[in-house]
Amino acid sequence: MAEVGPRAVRGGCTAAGTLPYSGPMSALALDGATGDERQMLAYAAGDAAAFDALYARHKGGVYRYLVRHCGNAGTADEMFQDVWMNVIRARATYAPSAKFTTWLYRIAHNRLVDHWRTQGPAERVAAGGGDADDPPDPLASIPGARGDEPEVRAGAKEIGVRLAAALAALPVAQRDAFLLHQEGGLGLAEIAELTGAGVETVKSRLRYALAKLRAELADLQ
Amino acid sequence: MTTPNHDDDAMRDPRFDAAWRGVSREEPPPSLDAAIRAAARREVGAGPQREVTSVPEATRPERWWWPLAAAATIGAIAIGVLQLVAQDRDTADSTQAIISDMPAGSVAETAQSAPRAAPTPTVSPEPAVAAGAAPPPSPTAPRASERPTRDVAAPRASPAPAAAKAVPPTAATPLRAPRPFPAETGGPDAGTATPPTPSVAPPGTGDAASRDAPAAPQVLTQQDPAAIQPQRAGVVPGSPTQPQRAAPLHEDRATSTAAPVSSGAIRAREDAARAARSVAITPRAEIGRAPVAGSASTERHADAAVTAKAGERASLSVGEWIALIRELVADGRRDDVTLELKAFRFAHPDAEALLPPDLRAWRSDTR
Repeated sequence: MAEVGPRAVRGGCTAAGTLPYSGPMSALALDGATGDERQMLAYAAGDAAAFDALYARHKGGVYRYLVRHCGNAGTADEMFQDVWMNVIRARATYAPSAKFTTWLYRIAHNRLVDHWRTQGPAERVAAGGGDADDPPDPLASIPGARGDEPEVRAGAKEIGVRLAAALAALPVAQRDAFLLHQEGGLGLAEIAELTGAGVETVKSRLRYALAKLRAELADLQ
Repeated sequence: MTTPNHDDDAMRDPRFDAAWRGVSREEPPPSLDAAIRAAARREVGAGPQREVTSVPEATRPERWWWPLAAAATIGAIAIGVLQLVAQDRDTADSTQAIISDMPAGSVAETAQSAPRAAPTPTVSPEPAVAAGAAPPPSPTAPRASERPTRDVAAPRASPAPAAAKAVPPTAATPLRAPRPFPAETGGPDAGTATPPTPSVAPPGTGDAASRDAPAAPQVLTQQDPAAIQPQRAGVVPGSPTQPQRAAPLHEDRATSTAAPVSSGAIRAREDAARAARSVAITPRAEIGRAPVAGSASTERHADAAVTAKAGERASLSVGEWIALIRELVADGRRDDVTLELKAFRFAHPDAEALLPPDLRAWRSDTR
């Protein structure tokens, strides 16, 4: 928790402050770009469909990253919109010098740090949906799925509640590393670059987080 | 970009990942999705705004002139085509009259390649013909100075009797009747090979200076029909033989009803009319080759008889033709002699030099 705050202050949360990789575009960087980077460049060139593809691919991960951190759907929605609006505004100065996901989650991470600075760090994430602002159970929104069966639905709900509780009990740094790894698909080096920590530190945080979550689910498996 | 670390795989637990994905399915609300997508489209100026700008009302000011432009283009093309068609028609008329004259070289080649129409008896040229090689003291010489315009209109009719004598009679052009206006002799040595262009210049006046004299087209167009007629007949205007030859010409015209004037005469008239139209635009170098057009239809009847006769005799050499005329003289066939002499003069611009003195001075009323 203490590690996140200062770095977030350095990075800021404005559109300009969330563009650490912006700079002149080089052919070399473009050659190494993946689909995400090319689509972002296409959107910067005026292709709105490229943005739609990028958004459809990454909206769930970013949203869950914010929701799991702040524990409030309304706040998560606000931060989620800010993140993507920053992406939209920063399209003109975007340069594919890093992975698009790293750049995207850096924006989300900085926005989250800004929220913590103003509201105070979330000590816990509401587990089990006891709050009216909590997101609904995802399994309940799938009609006709196996989750409609009472036993399956009850089991899944129990797993979700216990995982959410276990995740909320994690330290912020470990939770941040776990969510960036699990929802953003980032590697250790990318998480270390994003959070400003060392790779080994990130590796340790991640290992601890996974061990606690597995222990929480051990009796269910 | 960062390279993937092998430790990342070590951190992955498939069972835990599956369990996590089963319970972590939160998605942003659709309203938020729509707002973000709309903002993205607004920023790049894409999306429904472009469809609004493509309505006809928005583009009408750019299209109102299309029908006018199309009509103007079609009109311009139509005018251009009409002008080209008219110009091509005139050009075709003029070039047809000129193209009908074959160069002497091609005529000679044609004559050599084509079978001969009739066997040509080997008649040795008479001494009179050879004597005529030297330019006679023509009484027309001063007349040439009197009427220089006629000399200007004269084609390249430089008689070369020596060369004509050297040319074998087998080089004669096959008869291509009707042939109202024989092709021009391309060179001096072709004088007997092909029937030459009807000459309007007297012998001895076809020098280079007179040929290259300017203002030939104007002269041709200004010639009176009365002056053209004796030219076509090979008669030198003002010569001692002119009155006597002009009269039989009209006699022949009166008696030429039995002559084959049907197709040959009609073609001759058409060619003459076409040549008359093309004289005004024919280059000066082409004037000599262009046939001189007669203006009166009555004269054309006589011309038709003469040209028909000349066409008949085209296969004969000069010596053969002169021998034939002598036979007619001996038989007392005056009308035939007159017609033959006219045809001879018509076919040979240098007829006065080629004819022996007795035939040159022959009259229908003399014996």
